[in-house]
Amino acid sequence: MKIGEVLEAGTGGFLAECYELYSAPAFGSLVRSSTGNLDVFAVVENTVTASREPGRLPVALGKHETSQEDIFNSHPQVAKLLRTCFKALVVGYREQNVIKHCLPYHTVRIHGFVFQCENSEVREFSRELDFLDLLVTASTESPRDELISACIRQMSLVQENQLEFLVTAGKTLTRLLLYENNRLNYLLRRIKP
Amino acid sequence: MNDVGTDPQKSETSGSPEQLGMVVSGTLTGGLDIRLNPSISIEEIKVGQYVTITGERCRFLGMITDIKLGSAGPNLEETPPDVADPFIGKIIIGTATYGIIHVTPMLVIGGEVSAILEGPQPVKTIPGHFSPVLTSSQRDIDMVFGQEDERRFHVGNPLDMETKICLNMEEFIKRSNGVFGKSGTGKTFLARLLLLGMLQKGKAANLVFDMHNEYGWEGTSEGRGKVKGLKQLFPSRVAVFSLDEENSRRRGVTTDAIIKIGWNEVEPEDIVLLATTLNLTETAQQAIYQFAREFGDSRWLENVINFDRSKEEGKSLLERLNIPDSTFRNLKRGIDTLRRLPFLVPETSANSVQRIMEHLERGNHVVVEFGRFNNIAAYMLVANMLTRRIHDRYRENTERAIAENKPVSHPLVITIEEAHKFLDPGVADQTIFGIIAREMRKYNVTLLVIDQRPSAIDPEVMSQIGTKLTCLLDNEKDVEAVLTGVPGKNELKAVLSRLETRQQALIFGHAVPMPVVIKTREYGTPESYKAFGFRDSNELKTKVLEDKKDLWDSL
Ligand SMILES: Nc1ncnc2c1ncn2[C@@H]1O[C@H](COP(=O)(O)OP(=O)(O)OP(=O)(O)O)[C@@H](O)[C@H]1O
Ligand SMILES: [Mg+2]
Repeated sequence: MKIGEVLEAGTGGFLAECYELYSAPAFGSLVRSSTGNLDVFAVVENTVTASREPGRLPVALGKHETSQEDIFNSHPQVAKLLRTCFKALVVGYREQNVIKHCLPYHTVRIHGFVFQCENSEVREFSRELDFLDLLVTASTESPRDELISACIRQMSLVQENQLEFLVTAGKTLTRLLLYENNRLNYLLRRIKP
Repeated sequence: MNDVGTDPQKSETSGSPEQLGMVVSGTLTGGLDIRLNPSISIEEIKVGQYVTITGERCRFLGMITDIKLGSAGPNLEETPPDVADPFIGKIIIGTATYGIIHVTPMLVIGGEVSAILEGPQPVKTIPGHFSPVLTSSQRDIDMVFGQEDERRFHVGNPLDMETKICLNMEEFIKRSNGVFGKSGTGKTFLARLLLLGMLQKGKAANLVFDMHNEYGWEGTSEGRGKVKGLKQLFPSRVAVFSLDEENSRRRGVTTDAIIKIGWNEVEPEDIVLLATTLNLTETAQQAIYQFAREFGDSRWLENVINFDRSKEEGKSLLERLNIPDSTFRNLKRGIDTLRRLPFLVPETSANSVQRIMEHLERGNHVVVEFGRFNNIAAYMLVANMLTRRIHDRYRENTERAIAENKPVSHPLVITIEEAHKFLDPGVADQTIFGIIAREMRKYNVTLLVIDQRPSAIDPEVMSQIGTKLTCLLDNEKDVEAVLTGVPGKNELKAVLSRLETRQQALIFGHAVPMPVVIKTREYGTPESYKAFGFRDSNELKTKVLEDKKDLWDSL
């Protein structure tokens, strides 16, 4: 499902705007865009809904309204002044039907469409879990370990065997975080079904 | 991803080899460390089991000799994860923690040209990093121990495997052998199997000194009543000689002869060997020889027994021989202990040695039953006397055969229980058993020693023992004694001290290509008798009827 467009592209991640207000994909879910040649996969890591004009905050309008919706009904232009953007961390790409869990050589295109991945695509992408390696060392805007556990839980929802998936992910984390015991223990508790 | 929900059934060795793990480190001398696959529960692994390691060029057969726990994280012990939670436990076990098995490589069984052409070869190298390790297949084991045939006798099965472990009986009897293990571990049962094996495959005659009446006729099995003796299974191949006619009759034993020993047959050495048992002082032992010099080897005992101190001539005799009164009394007390043995008679025409020889020369087993006289003095006296004389006969026969360039007769194996009494360092160089153990099979005679205290046996004798079959031993000294001079001693120690408390044995030495832990072959069930080729009377009857019918049909 097409959900938005790329506004800003970097090697490790991109910023995208949603076509609909408040309709960003869930925290930790998998989205896809493109470099033109390659499909690039990314995990939604931070979503912000704010004024379109930087530095210009919206003003409070609802003092005399009875419900929140009434604000938008009385001031239809307000919704136009707002937008929902999200930041996604690149975790892999697909080249000629082969999925690689590493960063592509090129960035995605500005105005490139961003799609929310279908369940089957998520399953295909998460057949291997090497991308977790990128996540555990990534620098993120929202708390990193929250992102990791959210991502794993999101992916587990579409697996045929959810428990098996969670255990395998847990094992992968264990190998990656052998020297960070406290972090590992926290993450394992977070992904526990 | 398939390390979840492991089917517990899968791990039961169902025949096909299971991938256990891979080699992660090791040395040729110290053995290999193998990291277990997370799907294998460490508790399924037992020391003594066999594994096959497929290196790049060779295949190795090794024995598991130690099991360890490994953990990958440095501070896992300090802040352990919450493994009480089944989910977290499942994740951690096998990743951050894992099992390590220590394997002693024993043989190269494939890959190398020589191993293919000539069978298993000694290990001269080790498999490389990450070589896969599997439980050994039946084929691998068969390749090493061979299948049951006219020379190989099935003694048991490797741990958790159906494969038969066979001993080459012809090789086996070329040396003296030992069965060890603490009390109640299955020595007698194992020895009985070996006797059967020698009878069927080794072409060796056996002289068994059966102190507790367990081999010839019925033996007992703890908790299961009676088991058949050798004579009941193979009446025509086994003769039972009894020292206690009444007891044998009461037990319903079909005896072939009753052994009597005449005073005239007891030589001074026979008594001197019993010095410790009979509490004879040094001077009392010398007195025996003085009597023998005075009256001759065949009449000295009679003279000691009939000696009357109250008479004047008795007194003067002791004076003449310079034997103090106290010494004589010490000697007399000792001799009186023996005199109470009813099989010791003033004179006898039963030439027991000759009769035993007749059976042995036909290649049959002779079991000497002690009946109620199973005290150590009686046992040692009889075993020593008979063995000395029979060994003499064998020596003569062998020497004659060599001189006349004729084939030598059946090899003879002499089986003794409580072997340390005959072979302790104090007497081993005097007893006939010590001599036989040391002269190897120069005269075609070897020993099968059965003992629960191998540390009490002269180390030199122990070093001459070809094949050792040892059940559980838990005394450090005994373990040490059995394993002295054995390659891979420390590893085997771990295996030996962890055998089951009965019906398991570690076999190593001359007759086996590599050490092996067996579950001893079952003995005592009707099926087990059948497997030895025994047919009970009903079966024989139908067989006869069938044969008759065949005869009629063919007319
Ligand atoms: N191969 C076997 N088949 C069946 N039962 C066995 C076997 N081996 C051992 N057992 C069981 O273990 C018991 C003890 O075995 P056994 O009498 O051979 O021990 P032992 O070592 O000779 O003991 P001891 O030192 O008292 O003479 C037997 O009574 C029998 O029940
Ligand atoms: Mg016994």
